[in-house]
Amino acid sequence: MTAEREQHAAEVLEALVEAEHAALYGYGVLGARLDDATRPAAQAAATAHRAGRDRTAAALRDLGAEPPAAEVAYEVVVGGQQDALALAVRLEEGLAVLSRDLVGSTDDVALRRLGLDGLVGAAVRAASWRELLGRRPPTVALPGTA
Amino acid sequence: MVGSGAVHQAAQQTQPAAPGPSRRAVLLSGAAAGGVLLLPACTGDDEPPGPPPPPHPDIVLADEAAARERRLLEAYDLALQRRPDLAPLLGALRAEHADHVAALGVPEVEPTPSASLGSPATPQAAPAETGPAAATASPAPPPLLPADPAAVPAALADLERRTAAVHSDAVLRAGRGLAVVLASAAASESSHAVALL
Repeated sequence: MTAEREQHAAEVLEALVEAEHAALYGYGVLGARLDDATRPAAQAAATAHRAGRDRTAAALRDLGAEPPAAEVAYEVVVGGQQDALALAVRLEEGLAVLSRDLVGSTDDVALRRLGLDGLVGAAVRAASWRELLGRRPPTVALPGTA
Repeated sequence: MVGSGAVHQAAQQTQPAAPGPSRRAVLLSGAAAGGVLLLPACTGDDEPPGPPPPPHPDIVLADEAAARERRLLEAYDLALQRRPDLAPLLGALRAEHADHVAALGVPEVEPTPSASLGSPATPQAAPAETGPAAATASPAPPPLLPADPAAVPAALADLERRTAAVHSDAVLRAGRGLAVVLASAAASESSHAVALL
């Protein structure tokens, strides 16, 4: 019963680890396209995603599954600063969806907390990037919904 | 749970049938439909044989969350009066809170002191500071924004963060369907705090 119940959570965790790998790669690429004033925010985001990936991978191991490894490279095309900011928004929005899925996939409090932290972090970072893109308001009502 | 308690109760009181549970069921379904929290009627005899059947926990959590959102709506109404220059941002953020109320499945009511769920009437326009102890109890005091217009955004951001914290606590206790709504609302409010500063 427990194993069956956590099966969905394990699938979401796996997808989250993959998305965090991709986000880390993405921030490495897009950070190089940002101006000096903005780049530290991308570096902070990458640090947060590294921590999130490690926490998510650990949770997956706790469920007896091996976390997926990162791809060697990801297809990322970034032109200038606006492109880079838009990519950052997309990365965070994708992680918000998966994090919200995790919240809804489990009754385990630690996994709920993991999903909630991921969702809140992604929503806050997405809002910061939208702010820099000039989108008003920079927020959305229900982060993690399509 | 309700059924076994009813059996126990009926056996103890040697009544042919216990009308209590069905009445509670009606109350609970009414609460679900209307978003109104009603306490189950007590039989008035000795000690109840078991723990009284509680209202569905998610109904309580959703109602409490909606009450918190309404306090934020009230705070934004006040903020809009004090900072008309920020109307585009404040109006947009307020609309997202209205979306939270809708997502929680509780019909939005216009914020009036008597409409808040069981909270005491308060001096709405009093130029008082917000109390920092508000985040602990569920029936937190309604928002009171500082009179100084310059301090309004920071006070709103603080209220957003505290609401997000209480929502987050509820995420861990709610059923899955409600948990995702509460989680999104908490995430939204955390990002509002950023947008306001």
